[in-house]
Amino acid sequence: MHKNIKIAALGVSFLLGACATNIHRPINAADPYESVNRKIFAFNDAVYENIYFPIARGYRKITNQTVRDRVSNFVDNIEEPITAANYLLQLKPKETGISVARFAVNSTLGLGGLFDVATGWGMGLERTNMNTTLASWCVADGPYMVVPFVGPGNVRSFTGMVADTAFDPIYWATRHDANIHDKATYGFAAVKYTDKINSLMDLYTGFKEDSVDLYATLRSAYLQNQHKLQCRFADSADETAHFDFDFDEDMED
Amino acid sequence: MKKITTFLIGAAVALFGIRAYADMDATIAEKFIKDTTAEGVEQIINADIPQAEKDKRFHKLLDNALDLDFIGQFVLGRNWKTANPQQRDRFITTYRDLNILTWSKRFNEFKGKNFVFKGTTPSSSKGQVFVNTVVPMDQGEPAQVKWRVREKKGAYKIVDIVIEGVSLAQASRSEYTAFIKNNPGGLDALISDLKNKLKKAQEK
Repeated sequence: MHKNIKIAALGVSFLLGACATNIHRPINAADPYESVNRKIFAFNDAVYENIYFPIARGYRKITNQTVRDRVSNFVDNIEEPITAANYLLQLKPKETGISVARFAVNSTLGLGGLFDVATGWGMGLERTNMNTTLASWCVADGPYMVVPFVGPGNVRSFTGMVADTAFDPIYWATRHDANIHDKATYGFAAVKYTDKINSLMDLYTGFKEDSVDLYATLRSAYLQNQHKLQCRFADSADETAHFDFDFDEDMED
Repeated sequence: MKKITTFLIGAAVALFGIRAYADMDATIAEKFIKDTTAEGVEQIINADIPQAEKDKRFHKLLDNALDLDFIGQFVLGRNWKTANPQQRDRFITTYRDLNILTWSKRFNEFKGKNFVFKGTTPSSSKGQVFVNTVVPMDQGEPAQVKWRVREKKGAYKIVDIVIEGVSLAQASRSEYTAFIKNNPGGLDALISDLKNKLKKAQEK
């Protein structure tokens, strides 16, 4: 854990050097390592098809939708403190309050997070993370990267991913006993990634079926998704809606 | 004289106002999306009719609602300019047919869901506006879906759908540009690949 925090701190200091109002690289210049990324992407695709997806299909075979919904709720609830901490760092008191309340309600009345009682009370799930926090503080994204076994991201998102482990409730609940800590961490990781892969498998397969260049399609989707993150704490924040690009027949690339 | 000047200014403002109104009316755009989604959900997705009839209705609905000629030109980017008339024609025909099939599939994923309308957002592109909707999901956060509507000669058509911040037209443009750049067969290879996908989709 301490090692992770050190890596995250190093990443943040690197990124802070790149602080700017315009935190996004232009989409057509965001992927300077495309040839390496494409090779790792092909490797990941083989990993998904031969390891991850068979696990997800097995998971579907031995569970029904109700069980899978309970598992998703449980994972979401364990990760709720990460959302709460990041909303706090984004200086969003209302969202922080809702997230804290969600965790309290779902952990108790929702039987340890198996049921999302809070949504029924008008406190719907709204996730955020350190990547969004860093973006809101105007930290630049850095080049697009595909990481083996993990997938696409950029320097800021991978740094954020590591930094978010600092808010992981499993770490804080089990940190005094290394044996329990390891079992809880690896056990939860197995449940969490099975749940995530299960929820993404159909989407990925659908994209793969429809696309003539899957790498380019997913890169575009990822970069556009990142462009919606706004730099909120700068002298002149960029107010342009990210999705409002010039849409004309004769538009230049 | 003063009265005439006031009248002329008033008339100019009124005419200008009417012209701006006629150029792009966000209320009409929103109503158009409401009608299109309602027809898609109520009369196709949730209707108790055979799949063949659903496909037929989807084809008609999407053919009327989407400006696929316009989108086709956009997604080809700079390659549209260098394409010859035959290539343009073959691309648009294939692109239209393939998209009607794939968009039918995407629309089907909204089975049992409702579109909640959240107003409109102006666009910097002339004669275009975004109609904002939210789709509550069974699990997790609701999906944000924005419909980009373009008005041309009084007709309103969808030119893009932005799901969770991802523009489908922009994603297709990146995909096709990358394919043409990395493939020695260029645009012809793309058209041939799309035709294969269309054939496979029709066989399903």
